[in-house]
Amino acid sequence: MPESSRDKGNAAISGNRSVLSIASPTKLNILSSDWSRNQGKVSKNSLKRSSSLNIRNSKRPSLQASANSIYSRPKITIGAPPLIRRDSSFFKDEFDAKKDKATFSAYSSRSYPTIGSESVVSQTSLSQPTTSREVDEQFTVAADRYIPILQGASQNKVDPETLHEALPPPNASPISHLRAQTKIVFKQNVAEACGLDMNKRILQYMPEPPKCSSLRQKSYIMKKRTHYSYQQEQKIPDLIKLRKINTNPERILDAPGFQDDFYLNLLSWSKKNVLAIALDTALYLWNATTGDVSLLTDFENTTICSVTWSDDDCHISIGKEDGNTEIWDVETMSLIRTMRSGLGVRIGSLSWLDTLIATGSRSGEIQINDVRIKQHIVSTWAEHTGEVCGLSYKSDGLQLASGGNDNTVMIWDTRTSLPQFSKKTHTAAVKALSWCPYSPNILASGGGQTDKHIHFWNSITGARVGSINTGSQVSSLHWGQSHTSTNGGMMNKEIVATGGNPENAISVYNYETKFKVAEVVHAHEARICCSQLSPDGTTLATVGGDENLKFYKIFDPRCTGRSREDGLMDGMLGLIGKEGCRTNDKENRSKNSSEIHTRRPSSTSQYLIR
Amino acid sequence: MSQSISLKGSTRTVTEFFEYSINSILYQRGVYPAEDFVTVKKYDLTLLKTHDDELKDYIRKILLQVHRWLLGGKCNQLVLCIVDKDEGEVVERWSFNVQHISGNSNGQDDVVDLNTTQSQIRALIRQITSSVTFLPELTKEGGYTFTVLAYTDADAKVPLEWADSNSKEIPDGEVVQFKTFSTNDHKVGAQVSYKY
Repeated sequence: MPESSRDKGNAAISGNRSVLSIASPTKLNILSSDWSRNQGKVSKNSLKRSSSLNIRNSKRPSLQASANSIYSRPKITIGAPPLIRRDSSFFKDEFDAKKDKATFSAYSSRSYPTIGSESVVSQTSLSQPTTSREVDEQFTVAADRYIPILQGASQNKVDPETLHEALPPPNASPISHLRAQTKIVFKQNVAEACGLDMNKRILQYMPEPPKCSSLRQKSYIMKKRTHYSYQQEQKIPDLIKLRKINTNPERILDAPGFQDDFYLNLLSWSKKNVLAIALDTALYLWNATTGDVSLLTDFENTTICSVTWSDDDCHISIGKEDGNTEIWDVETMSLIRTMRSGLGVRIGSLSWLDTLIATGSRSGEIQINDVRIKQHIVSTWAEHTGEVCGLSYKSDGLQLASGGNDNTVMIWDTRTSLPQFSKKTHTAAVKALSWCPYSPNILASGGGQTDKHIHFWNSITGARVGSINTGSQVSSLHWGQSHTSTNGGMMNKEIVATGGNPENAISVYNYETKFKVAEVVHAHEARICCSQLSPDGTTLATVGGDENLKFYKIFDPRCTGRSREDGLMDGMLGLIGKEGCRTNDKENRSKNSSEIHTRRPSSTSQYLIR
Repeated sequence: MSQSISLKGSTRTVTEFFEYSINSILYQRGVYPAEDFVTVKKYDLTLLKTHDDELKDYIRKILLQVHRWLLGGKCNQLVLCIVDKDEGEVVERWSFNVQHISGNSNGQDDVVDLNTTQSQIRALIRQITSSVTFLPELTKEGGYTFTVLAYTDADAKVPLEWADSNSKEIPDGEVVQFKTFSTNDHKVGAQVSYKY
């Protein structure tokens, strides 16, 4: 310790000598004024001397005050020669006191003293290099002396000072330090004003969440459909080539007195290959196997509105205009029973399931009649608001499809007698209804003149599984099949639609592709009202407003080896044989008449259809 | 080592909670159709979780990143916003606040029991499930989607999929505060604000 103090004293002495050698008069004056301790004299001297001396004189009162307050004891205890040395050390202490005051004033946010201190520092550095060295030493001393004076609050302030000094290098000018600190404070104030927290960040996951799986499934189905359609497009020429059908009818029979009414069902073809056709008030039975024609009945006061064979093909039900339904035995040609609906309106549609007959009336009621009991009406369903013009039991009897003039297709649950589904997609009367024999749950429905569409329904889920725009009125629909070599013998599911204006055409559509694969344009001279498919599923019988009953070969025969099918095949063979005999329509008609004449000469006039 | 394992376990618990909460909210509010969800057993509750692969992947990616942020103590809030597709308007805002508990500063040696945490999570999820009773009905079927926000520190590492965003607050919205649950290292609270 004493060695260090001696070193400090030596440095002070050397500094003092250099100062004295450079500006001895001014320094001597200062010392003399200190000894005299007269403030008045000091002021007088300052007035007499230059501006720089004025600055130094202005420092004197503060220096005296600080000296008195801090260093009174050293002055009293020390003698003359040490006093001189102590004076030089006092000079350094005075500089330290100046710095302390400057820093305090800075903390108290006073700008003038800080500016003064900065200007003094700059002047000394510019004027003399030795003075700058002394200034550096004094700064280090000041830093040492800061520590006991600083308090807790000032310690907190040291942190921004360190940040302040960290950004610029330590040797940088104080102005840059102030600027950097000002920037930081400015950023914080702006962040607070904007309500943001500089240390926080709000991040968002930018990819969009996926769509609902059902939507994606739909798109997937669409893609699949497009792909499938694209494949099928390549096959269309083959289908068109292979599905050439004979556009000339195989047989034409006259149907005089046929009612050209769209809402009636006047044609029915039994599994025993007997075709029943209603001509106004009369019902004729034509045996397709033998070609025989017989008149079942001829009413006097009412017209026939619907005809349907029973499942056993021994009975036929006749819906009449007066609202009654009659059941006839075709073997004995006798009336068995008359069931009265009590509605007073015509029965335009019938469907038979074992011992149940569903009747559709003009007023919209569907009545379920049991032929085994006296009170035959077991249920009445009154959901349709228009005439029921289409009725069809499903093959298993669990559902009944009905189409009405209210543009509605209804699928009824026969066990609960409630409508399972009610479809209003059609925009015209729905008469054509047909259950698919291959997929038991598929129902095809055709709309009338203002709709022109065929819709396919899943009767279990109620979903619409397909649609075809036929471009004409759909009066009847029948499912069929065809075989092509390109498919390796596979069966093509097809459906035939009979239409009205403008072409009165018979159109065959492929069910999978929904494309038309065959067509008979202008099959009739007027619209086709009814059509029925033969029991073997190959020949279509159509009757139109032109009072002609025509037979077209549309489909390929079914490939099954059952005994019943064999019988049907025999029927077909019979038709083919007759085809061989035929040369033209007139000869065909003459042969028919000759056959009738030869077999029953005495009653020829009674059985002529013409 | 034990401390790090505990932190990882706690973070996994919190992330799992986020997963089941997001799935429950999406089901309860009808953002996705009901047939997209299956029931799973978790927290002694029968919860609904999506089995749609795309949505599952989407949520997994979000939560993986949130898990990383939670491990580093960078994430302090996770927000699920239900947005109207047509108008781009936030109709509901589910926010989960995460407080990171440091034992040294508090000087506490409290160890939260795993069963306590599970029961607290169960209570919180029950509240979320029953919130359909007071939340307004989202009437547009299939017309809503969702977006996820995360509040992180400024120095958190951010992957490319995440971008800066505003807070998506609902102006003049009602706010309902839910229960909280605690683990050894985290305390999670939930609240919902909705447009009234």
